[in-house]
Amino acid sequence: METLAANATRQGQYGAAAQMFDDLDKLFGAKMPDAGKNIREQRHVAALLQHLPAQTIHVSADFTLPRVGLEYPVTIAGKQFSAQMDTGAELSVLSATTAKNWGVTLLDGTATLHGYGGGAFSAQPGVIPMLQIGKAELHNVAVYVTADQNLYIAKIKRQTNALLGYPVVSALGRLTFSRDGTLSIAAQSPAVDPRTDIRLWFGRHALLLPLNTMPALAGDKVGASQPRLFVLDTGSGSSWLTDHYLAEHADLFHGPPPETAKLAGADGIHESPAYAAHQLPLFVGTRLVSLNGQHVLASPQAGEFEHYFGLIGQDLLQSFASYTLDFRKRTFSVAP
Amino acid sequence: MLLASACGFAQQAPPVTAASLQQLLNQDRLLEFSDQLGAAANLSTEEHLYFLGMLAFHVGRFEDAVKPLVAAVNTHNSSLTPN
Repeated sequence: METLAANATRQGQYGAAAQMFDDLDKLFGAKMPDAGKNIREQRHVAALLQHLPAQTIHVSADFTLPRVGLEYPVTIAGKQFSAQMDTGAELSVLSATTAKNWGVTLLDGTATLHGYGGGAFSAQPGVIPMLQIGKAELHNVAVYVTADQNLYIAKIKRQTNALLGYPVVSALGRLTFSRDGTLSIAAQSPAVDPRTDIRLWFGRHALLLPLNTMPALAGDKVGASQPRLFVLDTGSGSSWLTDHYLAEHADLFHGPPPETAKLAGADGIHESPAYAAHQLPLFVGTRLVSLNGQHVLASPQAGEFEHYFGLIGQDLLQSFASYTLDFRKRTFSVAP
Repeated sequence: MLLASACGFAQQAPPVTAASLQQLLNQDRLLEFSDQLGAAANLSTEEHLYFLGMLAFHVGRFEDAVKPLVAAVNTHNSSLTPN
């Protein structure tokens, strides 16, 4: 039932999601480790958006956008603004100042959101009646609006203003992010090419990539091992590997972990003992990349990430000339 | 002796059951879950629908996930599997 609710959320069917979370809470909430608190929070987030008309999109032609800093240009009511595109964000989130500038229509209620900059924070639902991204026109874009300081990461002194998450990014269909900073959107998707396309997987909350972590000999050919799942997060600057990876490659690491990784989690910044990656191979399809300097965590982490082998962020993605996410075909591919 | 050794080397993989599939899902071992679902035997119709729906969700076929999951949920008001 939780998957049905998550499934409805992925489709933007917030009313159905709220109903399913509600049923789940009634049936099983009391038996859950947190007495159903998490389910009720998710229900509330969905319920506050349930009366919104469904988001629609029309992409009239292929187009390419420049990137300025971390943001891409968007247009609302004829005015130019900018926003980040974040596949790791389940919802779109705006700072209060940005929402005011964008003329966002605020809706009633507040909900608790998790996971940005390391904490839980309060946010108010809202809707952007029409959002233009290049030659894509989106209607009824659901957002959550929060105080500016909730999107400020003091450690790196970065203020995020607008984060367009999965509902918007996936609606764009096929996105190619190039090393030169441009983002190209294709109005149509080509047929899947099994030689180059990697199937995207979907966790309960995360976007996942199956990647090979070691070469394997098949006869006289070097192939790749069984793939392992990694979280793909275009909104994360850095990549890291979990203790699951460490357990499978324990022979590569000796002595006590010499470093400390600092990870933003749902309830703050967590520190974890870690090793530094040194020439660790990772196969993105048939492309080999080497991990150097990224952290290999030596202790388990809380949450969904713990079940996977690592997180792929911008430091690795930028090693390719471009990478393409195709939500129509549910594939990922890279160009060397 | 030789026969015993041969038998020892020819150990069969444990059968794929609803419980073992659910355990893989609980651990988010989705690739193994996908591989093993095809080898599962003796699943009830509801269990089969449930696991098919779960697979559809995890490979991003969200529209295809609804029907089997709803059918499975409507059959049982509690967990379909022991875990």
